[in-house]
Amino acid sequence: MSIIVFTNFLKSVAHRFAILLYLVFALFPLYWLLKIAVTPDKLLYSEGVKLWPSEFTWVNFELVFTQSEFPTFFMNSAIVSSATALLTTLIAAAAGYAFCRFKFRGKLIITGLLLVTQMFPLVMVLAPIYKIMAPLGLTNSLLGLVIIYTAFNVPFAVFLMQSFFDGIPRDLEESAMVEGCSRFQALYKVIIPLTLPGMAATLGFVFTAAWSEMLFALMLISDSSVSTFPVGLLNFVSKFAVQWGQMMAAGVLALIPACIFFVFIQRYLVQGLTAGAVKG
Amino acid sequence: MASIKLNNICKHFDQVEVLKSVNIDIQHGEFVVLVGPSGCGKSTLLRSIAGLEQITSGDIYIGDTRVNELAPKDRDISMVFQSYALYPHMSVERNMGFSLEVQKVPKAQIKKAVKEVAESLGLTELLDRKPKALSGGQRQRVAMGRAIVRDPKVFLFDEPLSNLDAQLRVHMRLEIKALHQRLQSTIIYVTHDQVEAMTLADRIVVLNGGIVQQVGPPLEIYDTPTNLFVAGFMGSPSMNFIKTTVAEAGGEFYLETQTGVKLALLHQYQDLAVGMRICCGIRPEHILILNSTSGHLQARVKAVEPTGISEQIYCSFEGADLCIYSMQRTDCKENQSVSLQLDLQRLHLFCADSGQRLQQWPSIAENVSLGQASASS
Repeated sequence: MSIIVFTNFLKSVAHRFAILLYLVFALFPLYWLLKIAVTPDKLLYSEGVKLWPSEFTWVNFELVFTQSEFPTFFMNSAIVSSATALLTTLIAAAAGYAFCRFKFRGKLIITGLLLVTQMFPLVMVLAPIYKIMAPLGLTNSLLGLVIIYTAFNVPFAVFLMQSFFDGIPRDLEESAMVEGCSRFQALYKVIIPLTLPGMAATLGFVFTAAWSEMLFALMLISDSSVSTFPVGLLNFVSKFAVQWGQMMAAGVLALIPACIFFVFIQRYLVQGLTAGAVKG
Repeated sequence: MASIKLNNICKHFDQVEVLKSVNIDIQHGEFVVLVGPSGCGKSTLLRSIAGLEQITSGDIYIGDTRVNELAPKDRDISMVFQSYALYPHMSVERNMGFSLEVQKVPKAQIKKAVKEVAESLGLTELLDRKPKALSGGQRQRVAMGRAIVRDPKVFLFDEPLSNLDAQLRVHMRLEIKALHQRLQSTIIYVTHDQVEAMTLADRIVVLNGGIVQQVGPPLEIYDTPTNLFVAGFMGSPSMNFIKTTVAEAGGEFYLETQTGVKLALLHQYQDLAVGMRICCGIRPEHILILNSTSGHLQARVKAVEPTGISEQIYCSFEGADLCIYSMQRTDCKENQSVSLQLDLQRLHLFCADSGQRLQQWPSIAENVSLGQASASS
C-alpha cells in the first residue's frame, strides 16, 4: 500500500516538475524583458550576465512615457486590435453559423478558398496588397490595418467559430423555433449565449494576433502618428545605438493589455477551446 | 386541440425519397404513434408536421388551416425532442416559460402558468436549477412541462423515452399516458419501440421505407397485420415465419412445409392455387411445447432464455428459427428434440411473393376476429 502511495507521490512530483520546467523555459524571455527594462543603462554591458541587476530603476519606463511616442503607438495598437477582434469575431460568427447550419450552393468551394488563403506566406502577398491599398488611400491609416488584419484573420476565425456552432445541438434552436421564435430570435436568445465562450476564444486569438502583427504594419505605415507599437519599437533602434532599456520597458508595457485581456476571458477561453473537443 | 390531416406527403432529400405519398387523418384528442425501424421516415414525417422540414409535395392541415408555408412558430404546436433540447443556460423555470416569454406574456402570468404545470409534474422543487443539475427523468419531465405550459393545439413527441433506462421508461410511459388522459390533447408520438407504441396509442401508424404499411388500433395491428413487414415488426418477441406451399388433397387445400409436414386446411382463405408459396406466421405465444410427439412440428431446441416471469425457447425447424413464448417453465435443454403444437386458428398467412396477408372469406374472418377478441379478453 505504502509503495503505491509513494509511487503516486513520485508521479505527482515528476508531473509538477515537468510543468515547472516548461514554464521556466516559456517565461524566461519575458523575465529577461522585465530584467533589462529595470536595469540602468550603465550596467547593461558592464555587469555581464546576471539574473538580477545590482541596481534597479524605473527610469526607462519614465522615458518611454515622457520622451517617446509610445503612448500614441500604444493607443493605435489598442484601437486596431480591438476593432479587428470585434469585426473578425462578428464576421466569423455569422459565417461560421452559416457554414454549420445551412446548405447552400458553393459551400465546399468557399470552404476550400478559405483554406487556400491560409496556405500562402504573407510575404508573397505584401506587394500586391500595397498596390491595392495605396490608390484607395488606405496606407498610413488605421482603417487600412483593420481591414487587412480582418481579412487575414477571418478564415481561421470562421473555422474556429464553426466548430463551436457544430458543438451546439440543432435540437436547441429547432425547439426554440417550435416554441415561437423566428430563426433569428432562436439565434440570439439560445445559440449566441451558448457560443459566448467560443466568441471569447476567437476574440482572444484575433486580438493577440493583431496586437503583435508587424509585417503589414511596417509596410503600410510610414507616419509615426499612426504606427502601432511593434513598428514603434523599431524607433528605439537608431543609427548609432539601440536603446535596449527603453525598448524593453515599452515591451513590458505592451504586454499589460494582452495580459489583462486574457485574465478576463481565460474562463471562457478554456471552456471555449475544449467545448468542441469533448462531448458534454 | 385540433385534428391533423396529411394528404399525399412526399419528401425527398436530394435523390432519396424519404416519404412516399403518406396519407393519415388524425382526429382531435387522438394519440397516434408513428412506429417503424430506423430510417423509415417517421421522424422526418413528425418534423414535417412541425415545420422543421419542408415537404416536397402534399398538404398538411392542422385543424382547418393548411400549414405547408407556415413557420414552425406559427403552427401552434409543441415538440418534445429525443435529446429534450433544454436550454442549458436557463433555469428550469425559464425553460418552461420560454414560449410564453417569446410571446411577451406578462411575467406574473408566466410564473403562474409555470407553477401550475410544475406542480402537476412534481417539478416545483427544481424550478431554480439548471438542466445540467437534473437527472434524465427530471429533464424529460421538464421538456414535457415546457410543452404543456404553452397549451398548444398539438403535441409532437420524437422518441422522448429512448434516452432513459428501462425502469424509468416504463414510469414515464405511464406519465405520458396519464398526461394524455388529463389534457385530452392531440398527440403524435414517434418511437421505434413497439411496446411503447402498443401501450400508448389509440392508433398506430406503421411505416417502412417511407410508406405507410398499416394504420389501426394497436390490437388490430397485432392480431391482423396486413403484410409480412407489419407482422414481423410488431410484437416482441416477433412473429415466427415458416415457408410453406399450398397443396391439395381430396378437394381441400392444405399447407405443406419444405420437408412435407402438413399444416392446416385452408378452406377459409380466398384465391388459393396449388403450388402457391405461402409464408405462414405464428406468434411465439401461440406455439405450445408438448411432452408427447403428437405436435404439428418436430424441432430442435437451440437456446432457452428464462426471464423469470416466462421463458423464450428458440428452436430450429427446417433451417429457420422459431421462438416459443411460454408462461410455464418447460425444462427444455439445448439440442433437445421437442414437439410443437401450433394454434391453427391463430395462423397468419401471407403470400410469399407479394408479402400481403391472404384474404379470408368475410364470415370466417369475422368469426376469427371475434374468437381472438374473446381470447384476449
